[in-house]
Amino acid sequence: MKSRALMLLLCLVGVLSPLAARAIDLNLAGTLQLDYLFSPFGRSDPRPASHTLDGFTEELSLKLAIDISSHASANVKACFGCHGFEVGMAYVDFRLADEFNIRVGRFSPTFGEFGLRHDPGNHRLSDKPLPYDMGRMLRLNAFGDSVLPSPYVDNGIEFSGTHFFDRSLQFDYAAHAVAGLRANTDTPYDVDFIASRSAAPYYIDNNSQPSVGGRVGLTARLASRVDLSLGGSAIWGAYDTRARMTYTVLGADLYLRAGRTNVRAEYLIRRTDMYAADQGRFEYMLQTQADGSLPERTFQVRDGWYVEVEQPVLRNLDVILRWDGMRRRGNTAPGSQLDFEAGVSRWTLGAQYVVERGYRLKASAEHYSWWGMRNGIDQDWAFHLGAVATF
Amino acid sequence: MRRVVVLGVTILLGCAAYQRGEGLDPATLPSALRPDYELFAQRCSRCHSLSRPLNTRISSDDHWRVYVARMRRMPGSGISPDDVPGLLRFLNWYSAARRSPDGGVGGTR
Ligand code: HEC
Repeated sequence: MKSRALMLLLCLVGVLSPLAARAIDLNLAGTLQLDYLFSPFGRSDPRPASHTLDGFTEELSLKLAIDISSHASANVKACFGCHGFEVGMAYVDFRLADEFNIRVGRFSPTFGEFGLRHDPGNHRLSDKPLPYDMGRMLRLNAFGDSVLPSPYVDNGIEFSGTHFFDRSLQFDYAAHAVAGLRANTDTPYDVDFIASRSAAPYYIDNNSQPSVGGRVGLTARLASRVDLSLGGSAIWGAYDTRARMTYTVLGADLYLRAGRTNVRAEYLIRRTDMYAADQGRFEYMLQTQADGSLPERTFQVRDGWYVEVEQPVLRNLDVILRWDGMRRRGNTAPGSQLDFEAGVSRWTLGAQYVVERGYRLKASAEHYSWWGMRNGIDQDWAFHLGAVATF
Repeated sequence: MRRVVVLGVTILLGCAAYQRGEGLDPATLPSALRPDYELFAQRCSRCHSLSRPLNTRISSDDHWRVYVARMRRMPGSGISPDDVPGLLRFLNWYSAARRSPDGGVGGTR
């Protein structure tokens, strides 16, 4: 079952290879990243088994891009990571004009700036910014999932387009309807990223109600080597099995390039309903309604941000400085390690060294500052050393 | 602290001595193509490194045309239709240089 994605890719290559002799253009691309994450821990803080995904992790992706004509193309991407083999992309694009493209299948709905760069071959640090984290954040189990997974892969349809007003102003939009984030229960606390991406229910929605969203963006060329992009994104959907608990995600993103320096920044916020009708499920007193009964739902808010500067210092060496963070505000489960309000702010200093075109080494040091942690922990260090190959 | 500084400087010097970047060395390219290469290096490195297009197996001019069109339509690509002729001039030259028996022009191999 786990090799379903790879089988799909191989079948597609097999079926399409004879066609390649005709007008169809095929291109195979891939990425492999091996990362080692080391986090020292003090005597007073014996490392819980579920601290984070430390030690060695490997991510592999293999992608087939098929250009059927200048109007139609398909992409299939098989990924291997913490959850085994998965289908990261299996979609078809049909373009009527630059301003109107229809995408159907399994893809990452357009949201924010990082989504396009989620592949470890495309971003320069070993790990993702905290609001998009999927397992490398320290104290992962205490803190729970991030704001939005990246890649956020889902089944559905997306309309998108881009328009240049002249050579220096680009407008783009995307609007999607997809199955949506999930929790496989009708009394959830939060969305469950693992349930949302698990292979077993790939093909079925847990509540038959689509989640909708989109992004609009503007890119301006301010000078011949200076570009600025601004974007705003939103997603709304229901995530429990009865489609009564909803989530809303909003995001704003900025990208500035001046010469060879890249500055990227994003802010994301997710408001998520929690099933509330039972005080026993919560640490803090729930607010009763006018008739004294408990409301059916309360909510929690998670927000996160990153600001990242990438600066080439030599032809083969980039230095990267990142400040990112995440906060959670809302009632907790009894015995939770988090206060009603808790958060983390992290500084990362990293470097990327090109050994040979397509082969790079990544190294970084990260300092975490926590607040609202009931075990009194307020600081952590982490170190990454990794190698990435794109081919 | 001094040891850290010494280590840092040694690593930097080491990196500087062995300079093989993701891109090509413009000085080794035919002079007529340098502006096209600069355009390519600027426009095609926003979302990924230059090794993506430089290491790919795309070789026909037609395939590059649809590829560049696909990248141009990505959100915030910053690649305007006016950029396309210059980008294709460089990419078509590059693929041909890589294929040629005496390849390696400008570090294309
Ligand atoms: C707006 C972002 C963006 C820009 C600008 C961009 N690309 Fe890409 N490119 C992507 C993404 C996203 C991928 C897919 C990587 C992945 O699989 O996650 C990609 C992948 C590729 C690949 C590998 C094959 C594939 O389809 O995965 C090639 C080749 C490529 N790009 C060429 C180019 C060229 C040439 C340019 C400049 C004309 C360019 N790109 C500019 C976003 C961009």
